[in-house]
Order: sequence, then C-alpha cells, then structure tokens
Amino acid sequence: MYFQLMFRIVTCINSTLQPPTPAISLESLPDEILTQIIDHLNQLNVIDLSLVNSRFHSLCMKKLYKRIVFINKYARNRTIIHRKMDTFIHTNFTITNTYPSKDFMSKFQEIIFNEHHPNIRDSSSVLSVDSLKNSRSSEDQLNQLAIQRYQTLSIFFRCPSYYMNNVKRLENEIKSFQKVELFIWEDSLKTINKLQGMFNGVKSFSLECAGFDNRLPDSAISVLCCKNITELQICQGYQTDNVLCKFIKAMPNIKTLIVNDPLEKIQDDTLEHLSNIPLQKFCLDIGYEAEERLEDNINLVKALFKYCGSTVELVKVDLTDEYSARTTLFSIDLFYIGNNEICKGVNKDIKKLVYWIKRNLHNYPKLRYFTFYHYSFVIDREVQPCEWIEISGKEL
Amino acid sequence: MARPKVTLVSSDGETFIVEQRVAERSITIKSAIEFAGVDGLTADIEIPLLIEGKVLKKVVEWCEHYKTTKFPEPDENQVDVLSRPPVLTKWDNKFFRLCFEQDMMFEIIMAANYLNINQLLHVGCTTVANMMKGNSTEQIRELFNVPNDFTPEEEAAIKREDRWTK
Repeated sequence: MYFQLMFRIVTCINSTLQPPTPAISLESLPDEILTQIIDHLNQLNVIDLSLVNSRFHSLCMKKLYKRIVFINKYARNRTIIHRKMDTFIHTNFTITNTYPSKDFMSKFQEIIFNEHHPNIRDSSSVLSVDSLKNSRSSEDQLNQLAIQRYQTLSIFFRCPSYYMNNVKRLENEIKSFQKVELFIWEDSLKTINKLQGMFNGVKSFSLECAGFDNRLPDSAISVLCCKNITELQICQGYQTDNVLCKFIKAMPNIKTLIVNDPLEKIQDDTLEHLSNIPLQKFCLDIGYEAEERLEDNINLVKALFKYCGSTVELVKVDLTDEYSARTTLFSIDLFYIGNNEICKGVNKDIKKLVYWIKRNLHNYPKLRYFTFYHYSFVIDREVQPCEWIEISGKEL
Repeated sequence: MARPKVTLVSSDGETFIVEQRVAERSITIKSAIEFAGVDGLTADIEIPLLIEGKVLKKVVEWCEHYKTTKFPEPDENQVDVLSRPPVLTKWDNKFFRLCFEQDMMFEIIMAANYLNINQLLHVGCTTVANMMKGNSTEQIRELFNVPNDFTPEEEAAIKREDRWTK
C-alpha cells in the first residue's frame, strides 16, 4: 500500500511539473517571475532596469507603456483636459511624442508638461482618431502595440458621426487590451448607437461622461453595457442612482466596482442589486467637491456592507489633499466595517495622522497596510506593540 | 492517534519531516497529497522533490513559520488600480536578507514557483525589487551580475525613445 501510494505521488509530481532549472542569477529567472518583480518597481526604476539588457527591456516595456489615448480635435475642451490630468497623475498617466502629433497633440502635451505639472512625465502615447481614417496600417500597428506594450486603451470621444465610424474600426483590436477607458461628451450620444457591440470582449471598462451631468439615456446604456465586464469604473455623469442601477442589472458579472464622486444618494434598491452580483471589491473614490456629500458616502459604504456583507473584500477610499484630517480618519474607520486592508489617501498633516492611528491601532485589527500620498506603511502585527514599517516615502 | 507526517525528500537525499499543514503551504504538495489520499491522509507519506536540500530547508523554515497564517487568495482578475500591496514582515526581511547569499535567494524564488507557494514567491519578488530600487542601470548590472547585450547603437536608440519618460 505504501509503495503504491509513493508511486502515485511520484508519478503525479513528475508527470505534471517541470523540474526547476538551477537558478543562480537574476537573468535566469523565467519571464513570469521577472514580471512579478517589475510589478513592484516604480516607473523610474523600471526605466533603469529596461536598459540593463534586451530581455529586461522587452519585459519592462509592458510596464512602461501604460496606455494609448485616442483623442480627436473636438475633444480639446481645456476644462476637460485639466480635469483628466488629475486622473492621469493618479494613474501615472503621461504622454510621449512617440507618434506624430498635430497641433492639438502638441498643445495637449504642452499643457501637461509645462503649465501645471512640470514634473509629470510618462510613457503613454497619444494617437489621433484622424490617424485611423484611411489607414489600415494604423490598426495593425495598434494591434501590435496592444499585445506588446500597452495595457489600457483610452478613447476620448467627442465627435460628429464620421469620427464614430473611425473609432468603430478599433473593434477587433480592443479585445487585446486589459482595460478600456471611454470618455464621451454629450454631443456624442446622438450617434452612440454606432458603437453597438464594440465592447463585447472587454473585461475592464471605465466610463466617464465629460462635462455633463444629465442622466445617460437608456439607448446609450444598452450600447455600453456588456455582460463580460468584470471590472466597472463609473465616473461623473454615469453614477446617478438610476443609471448605476441599470448598469449593475445589465452587467451581472461585475467583481470590482469603482464609483467616483457619486452625485446622488445610492438607493436601497440599487444596493440590493449589488448583493445579487458576485462583487468582490468596491472602491469609492471621493475626491474634489464630494466632501459635502460625505454623509451620503458614509451611508453608502455602511449600506454596502449591510447588503453585501463579507463578500466584499476591499474598500479603497482615495482622498485628495483638500480633505481634512477628520475626513481621512473617517476612511480609516472603514477598516472597522469591512475586511479591508487598504486605505489610500492624501493629507498634509501626515505626522499627526500617523500618531493618531498608532494610538488607535487596536481599533483596527484588520489594518495591515495603508498609504498617505508619498508614504506607505506596513504594520507588523507579530511584534507587540505593533511595529510600523515605512516601505516608501521620505523620512517623517 | 498521532497525525500523519509528511516527509519531504530533496534531490540530494536530505529528508525533512513536517506536519501536513506545513507541507500544504505548497499547492503542489497539497494537490499531490489530495491525489494520493482522496479521503484524507491516514498514513505517513514521503514526497520526493526536485529541489536541493539546502534550498528545501529554507522553504520548510518559511512554511513552518507561517503554518497558521491565513494569506489572501490571489485574484486573477485583479487589475492594477486595486492591486494588493506587498506586505513584508520584519521576519521576511530577515529571512531573505540576512540568512544567505543572492543565488540562494533566487533558488528559493524558483522553488516557491515550482512548489506553488504564492506568498513566498510574492515576498521573494518584493525583496528583489527592493534591492533594485534607487540603483542606476549600471549598478543593477553590477549588483546582479547581468551582462549588457545591447550594441552601443541599440542602447542609444532606447535612450532616445525613453527620453520622455525620464
């Protein structure tokens, strides 16, 4: 019996697994491990690593080139650009001049690099929707880039109908991206039906209505909804309760839901629908002018846990530096409500906050990691009293 | 009745007798045990592994230390915006940094990959990334003994391409 058992185990291990090759250097690690290592590096470190040798270079490119932005000349409303710049900064968005840019593209870069954020540099590319107009090669090029380098496709979508037709030509390539971001303007809604079926292969989808707060019409919702989507980010213009509810009903496989700046109180009916989908992560991003709706947001999170309970693992509250210490501490309170581990926030008074949290750590037994702006902390709960390890940022 | 023990045998014949829960930190070993005893392990078993004794010893040490810790399940659908942060405890830092040399660190990472011990792999990768942070390209080459296979022309072209990112 013993020998039979041994034979089966040895057969099982030897037949299903390749033996590890002896590893004596960084270079001999397989791609999947090197990619994991790169995932832990910031952008500047990745750039340095990319120059080490050709293999590292090709692996690092996937990390460096984060997204392609499609934009047309009708989308040049500076207010929108400024507004999106803040989003870009949060997501390490920047722009290169890798592709030929027209006057507008140059202006776009100029605004980002010089006027407001001189230190922000990045490696995404801006392509004009115009460039797709008559060019099959642009699509081929995009397809290659999507596979080789980029994770996210961003489409700024303000257009007369012929631009819609050009964007529609991206349909086959869209599936290659991990994430698609769509920014649309109110005037695009008239012809949005041209995009029907375009997002069927997309799993992670971010939608933002640019510059209008009207409710999204049902016709637009039916075009944009896709059953395969597992991560949905809804930003200003989309997240009125009525619209949110329709999206949730139409996308039954959402595992991660990110709501930015909710405009209306989320109703119980919507929350009940949330409890019917396999939601695992919920991110509430309350920045900018949302402080006045703070109470609604608190209630939303509490209600979410009431309806979804322990199925929701994570709440991220991303705060801007306009927030008071009190508000940030509220976000820490969320750890007590759910099974949360992350709080990302920005606050000027970091020393005061860290001191407060250290004193009150016993109230947050599940808190293991948090960040404030440039500062990241890990709590080592094996040491009593709990020890805090600063893993990045400047000396406090 | 005493709980069944698992004997892990290294490629060079060294044996490590561990509790089942320690061995099952490895998904690979766990699957093998499940395959061998569908209704649960009832007798001691021996599992030969293609890992050197000195490496297996460190892996077992890590598994022993975390035998009761519950780690979060990895999520394949996780996207960057909500990715789980690296959590390195003081013990992890000591384990990787003070106990052995660089080649041993990579051997352990490879073993963690082979044995499918996600958290050990994650901690190992974080440690290597931390070693890279703040170093220039030349320093990384020197630190990890990686040869430069770019021609001067290729290197210049890449630097030109990256100029907007610096």
